[in-house]
Amino acid sequence: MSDGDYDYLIKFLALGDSGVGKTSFLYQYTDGKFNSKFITTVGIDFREKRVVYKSTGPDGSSGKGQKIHMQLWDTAGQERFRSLTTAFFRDAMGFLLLFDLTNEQSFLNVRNWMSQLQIHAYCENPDIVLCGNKCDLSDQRAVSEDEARELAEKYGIPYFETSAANGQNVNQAVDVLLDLIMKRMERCVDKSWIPDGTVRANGNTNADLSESPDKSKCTC
Amino acid sequence: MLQSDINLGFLSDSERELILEVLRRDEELRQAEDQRIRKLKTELLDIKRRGAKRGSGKYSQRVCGRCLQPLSRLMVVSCQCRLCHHYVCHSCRTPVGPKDSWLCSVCAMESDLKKRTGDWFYDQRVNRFLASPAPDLVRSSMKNKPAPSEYRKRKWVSTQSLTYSQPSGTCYQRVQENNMKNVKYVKLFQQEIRESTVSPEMDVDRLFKKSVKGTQRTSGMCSLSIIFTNILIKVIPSSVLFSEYTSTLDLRNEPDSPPALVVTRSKSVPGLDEEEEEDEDIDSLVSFHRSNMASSSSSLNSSKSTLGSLMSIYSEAGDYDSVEVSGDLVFSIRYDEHTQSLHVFIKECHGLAHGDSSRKQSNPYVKCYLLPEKSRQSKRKTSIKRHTVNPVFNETLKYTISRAQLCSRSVLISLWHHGRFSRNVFLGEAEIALDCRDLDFPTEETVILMSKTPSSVAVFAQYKGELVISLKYVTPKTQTPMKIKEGELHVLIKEAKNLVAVKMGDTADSFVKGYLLPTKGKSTKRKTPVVKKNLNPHFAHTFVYKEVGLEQLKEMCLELTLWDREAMSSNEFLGGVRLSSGKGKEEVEMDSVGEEVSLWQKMMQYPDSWAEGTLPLRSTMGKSKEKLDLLNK
Repeated sequence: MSDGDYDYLIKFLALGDSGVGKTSFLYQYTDGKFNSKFITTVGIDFREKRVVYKSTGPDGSSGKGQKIHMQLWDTAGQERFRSLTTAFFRDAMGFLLLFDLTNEQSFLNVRNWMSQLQIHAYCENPDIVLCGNKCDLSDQRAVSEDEARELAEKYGIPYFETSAANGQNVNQAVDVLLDLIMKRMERCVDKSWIPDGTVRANGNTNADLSESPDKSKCTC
Repeated sequence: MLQSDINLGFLSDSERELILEVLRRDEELRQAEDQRIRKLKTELLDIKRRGAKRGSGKYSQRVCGRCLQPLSRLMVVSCQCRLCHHYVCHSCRTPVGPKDSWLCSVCAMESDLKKRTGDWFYDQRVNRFLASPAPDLVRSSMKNKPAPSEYRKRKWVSTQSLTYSQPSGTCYQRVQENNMKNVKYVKLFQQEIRESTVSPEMDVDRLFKKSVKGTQRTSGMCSLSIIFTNILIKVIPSSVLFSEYTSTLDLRNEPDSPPALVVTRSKSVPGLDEEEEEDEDIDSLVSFHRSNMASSSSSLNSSKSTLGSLMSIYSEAGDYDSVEVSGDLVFSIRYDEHTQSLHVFIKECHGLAHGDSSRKQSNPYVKCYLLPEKSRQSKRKTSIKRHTVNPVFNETLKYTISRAQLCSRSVLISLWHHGRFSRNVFLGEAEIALDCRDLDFPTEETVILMSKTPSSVAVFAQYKGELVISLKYVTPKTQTPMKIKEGELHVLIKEAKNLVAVKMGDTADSFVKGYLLPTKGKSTKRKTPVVKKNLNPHFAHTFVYKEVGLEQLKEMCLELTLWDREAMSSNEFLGGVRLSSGKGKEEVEMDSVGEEVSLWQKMMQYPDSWAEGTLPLRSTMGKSKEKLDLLNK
């Protein structure tokens, strides 16, 4: 699959309660297919996909396409794999946090997943996209769109109602996450140009070193 | 290793298998990624090398910092690169970001690389997690659990790393054979030494005696011969070096075990890994490296060909005579899919220089390396042709290597005159890059031989990986009015990235060693623990130097070197950095450049806060000032 002929290797990770459709979501994204049979994920897995990313500047101009190799980590939602799956959070650049629109408990657990991310991700405020999955099952819906949007706004993250079954919003959700990552990457590199008395020789600027540890913003 | 292992005892056997399979796939992806990154960074180095000005040098502002073209008077006002502060011309600028902002071509490429290599991400992650990436952690966690069955263990081991690529049964058998061979050669070697007092080829013996008696003709000679003895003694148990030794005795085909097998041997023999490495050998090797780099005309004159061959193992350059290079070489290179190997066919040469100028003759042979590796494992030689400047070799030199690994490599073919009673003489070389060659339909090619290029000896010429460190000067807490204020220097060795294994396709058991110069002794020596089988080792280890004044640091130099721990022979040098203000007293080698200087200065400028940096590794710790100057011209 990977021959090194790409410009960026971007690593995402899908997380959320067991049975919300993480594996199906990724399968729909990479292969455009859906399998209604439930096969629980053992610990971890990943899928790969090549996409072309066109950056859009603030003036709306689009740059030249960049070849992206995506590694999409799938995690087991089951509690018993927790110690294993959370170890993989640190290797991901962005996160797809899924819950099941037909299962209220999975929505309530989003809070817990968010705090898990704060602890185990590479920085305290990584890029996350919230996805309410199974939106095709409208007759079984247990979480309203408004509630979900409210929660997403509280965390300041994008929200999508997705369906791994019919593909609705699946690509959009991943694309938005990719865009967030690519923008963050630019900011990280940008900052290292600014001679603001940074202590670093390279990497991102680190004015926060002296600041209080409970700072919510990450170094980028 | 650094973070406590995850408890994975709850996994069933089949789950364990599934997870390891996922990790294996990930490992494949990561290897391809490593290769890609290495290639990118090599390109950057290349551009940097062409870029003329160095951070530390003084240059006229009227000249473009990159292409050295003169700048017009008007331009000087607004042509400074925001990052490196060099003045550059229009054609050496690259537009970046919105609004007419730009950076000089090198800085633009550097920041672009930060994105492409994912360093923007890893630089942040390292601040939160000093431990290894998750797959490594999971693997090591699983390793520490007693395996449920012998079968499982073996299967699992085979997924671990390249080192264990052979089924363990046959591998063990080969090991036994190898050991048997070794015993034979040790005996042969000892016998040879005893018998060879009259043979002019065997200078080894003389050196042995000399060091034993402690004859001090010149101090330089004496210390060198002691080092030789050290090396030779170290050599004996190692089959790796043995193949080298025997090749000088023309027993070449005998111990022709492929390098991979040798690796398997040293790693799989139980107990060998447990031995504590001996530091002083490393030190002597470094100083050996040094003395060799510093003066090629030292007392090595007395070393004859036999020793010369052994020596080329340790020295990048130095021990040879050179003549005016002339002539060409006819060769072809192809990749053999069937045997997964690279075939370098050496056909013939025309019009070589005379190696022995007094007798107007040459005994040429070809030596070949598959760069970036310049170790004994990568060395291949043809036979020696006598009394000719137009030798016909028709020999094929083979490297077992996967095709995927070839892209970033090149073949360095050099010609040497074999002096029977004198030193070998360098007759010329040619470097052939493999990335844009058709290796399936090779054509015969003729290249003009070149003399050694200065760039091939420059300390940063080869990409050897990077070292991520943080420095902090801790100011003294209690005020001692009587004494001069002395604080502590904390050096956090975070990790190394993209190390280049000594043997291709292998990993490294690496550790970092540090000295705070000018004192090079036990008092300033610090070492990290060894991180096994990893080319991206996470050390997370802090060296503390107490009672150093801020003023003193300006005159000091922090030398960090990376080593591949070899249980049975000398440790292999993987690269190093030298941090200092870049200018200082003569006795300390303060040839720091670029980030080595800026990081050191930032540490001094902001006491009590961490200064972090990712430093490119030098491929040799030899004195580089002259060479850099050469490049700057």
